[in-house]
Amino acid sequence: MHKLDKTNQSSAYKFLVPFLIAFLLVNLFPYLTSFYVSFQYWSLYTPFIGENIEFVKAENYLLIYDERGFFASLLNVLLFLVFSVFIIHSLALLFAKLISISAKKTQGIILIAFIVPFVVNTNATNVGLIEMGLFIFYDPINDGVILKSISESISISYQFVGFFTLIYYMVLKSVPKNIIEAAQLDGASIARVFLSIELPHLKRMIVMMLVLSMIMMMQSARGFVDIINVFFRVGDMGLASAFSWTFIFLVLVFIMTVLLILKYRLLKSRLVKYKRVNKKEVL
Amino acid sequence: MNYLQKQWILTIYTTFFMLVIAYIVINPFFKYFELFIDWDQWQNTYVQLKYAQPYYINLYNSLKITILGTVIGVVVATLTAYSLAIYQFKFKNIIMILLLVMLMIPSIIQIVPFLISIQLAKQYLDFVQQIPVLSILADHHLVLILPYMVPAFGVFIIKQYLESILNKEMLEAARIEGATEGKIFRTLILPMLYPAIAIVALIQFSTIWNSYELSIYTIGDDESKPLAHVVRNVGRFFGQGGFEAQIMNNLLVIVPIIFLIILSGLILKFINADLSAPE
Repeated sequence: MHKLDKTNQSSAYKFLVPFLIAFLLVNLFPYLTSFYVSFQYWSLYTPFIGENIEFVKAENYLLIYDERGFFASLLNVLLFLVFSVFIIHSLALLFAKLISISAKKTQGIILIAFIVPFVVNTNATNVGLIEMGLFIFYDPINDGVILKSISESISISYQFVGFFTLIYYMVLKSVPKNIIEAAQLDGASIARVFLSIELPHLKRMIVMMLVLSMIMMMQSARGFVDIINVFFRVGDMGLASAFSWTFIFLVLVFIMTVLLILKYRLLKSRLVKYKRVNKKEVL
Repeated sequence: MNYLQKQWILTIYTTFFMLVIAYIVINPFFKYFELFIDWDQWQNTYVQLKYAQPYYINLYNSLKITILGTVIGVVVATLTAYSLAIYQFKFKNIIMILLLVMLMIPSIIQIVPFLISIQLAKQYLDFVQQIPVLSILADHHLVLILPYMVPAFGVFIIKQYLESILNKEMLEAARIEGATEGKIFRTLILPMLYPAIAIVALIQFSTIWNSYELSIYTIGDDESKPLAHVVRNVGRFFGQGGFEAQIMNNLLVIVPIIFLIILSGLILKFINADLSAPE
């Protein structure tokens, strides 16, 4: 038995070799270098040699707060996250339920059609949305932070609603059928079954998907991308990497607090109830 | 019960989905409608197409980057997920945590570290190019693939799928028969994984095909840019790039959809599978 375990271990590492190489090359090395550079002054257009790099302590991190656009863009990203997550998940849950009760013949075509915007280029779809008149109220130069983030979240939800509909559709099937049938025999409507049986079953999954979608949204948050472009044009890599580390840290803190609040408000109470029921049954 | 009456919301939304994309694709043909009527205009356009920005080279670049990146990402994700789903080993938990962290860090933060390491690599490039095998590294298109080499989300998808369909007795039977671990993977597990691989390949393909942020800062000359980079502003202000740019913008939209349609059978199989893990 012991011998088999050893061979198993070695073959497990053999399968992991490409992952480990890619991880070292793509993730570990660049992140460590950028963390190192965030404490230095270095311009992108000079070679990365000792004389061009100057140690400036935490000056880069302090300089960010003098940057006028920093807090505006942070607010923009946070509002964008909240709006887009709200739109996406409410629509996706609704559509997933609607697809699951629709006729079996059309389900396949509708599901494939729902993935299409996820696959298509965002720039192109934005133009389509603008020209079709969905952003009539939006003026990119004069508008404030709130309108800007609303219009951004509309365009991003167009892209992601289908993807999350798919996931919720897959999860909806895992709800035990006998409970639903029992409820329907007692006279519960589709809406009642959805609200009081299926949604509580999906709670864990929804919280997981909320966090995942926030992370996915953050990659296309314009506030973040715009300000980082400014640093690139100047070429100050120390400032750019300090900015991205701070920004990621702040937004992750935000996501974590949301996750914790959701966990205690939504999940905790539910878990306690289940435990009580189990104890009674055992007794 | 007749549920058909409830489908109107779905119908409206799906048509809206499709309308936006159909509008993007069809609009340039209406905009440049006179080209199709007037023969002289048509000839002029042909001449312009010949001497304008060589978009077909950008298309070739994009296809090359995307296909290479998709293949690499799928291979890495499949092998990692297989190892994590089947074996028990010492550092399993650490690797799971690493994958979770990689999922949490958004890929846009990678641009800064990548530029730094590219700058580092350029300094040693002359040395590297003399070694025949490593001269591939001098290809600047490789840089555009690097951020997508480990699709952490794809690893979780394949792992979950494999755990839900796996039959451990079958594995043990194959081992008793004398199959090596590599053979078990190739002949037993891999054919079962095609639906999950298809969806990972689709995600990889669309993200790499549509990405241009990294190429803005790394690639200087027009001929080696990917397509998404060259036509990124065509849509913004209509008529900016002319007819040929509009057509290339259409191609940019259509190619991933064609890929989706090719894989649609496998993807539907994945969607309809029961993914709850056996306890």
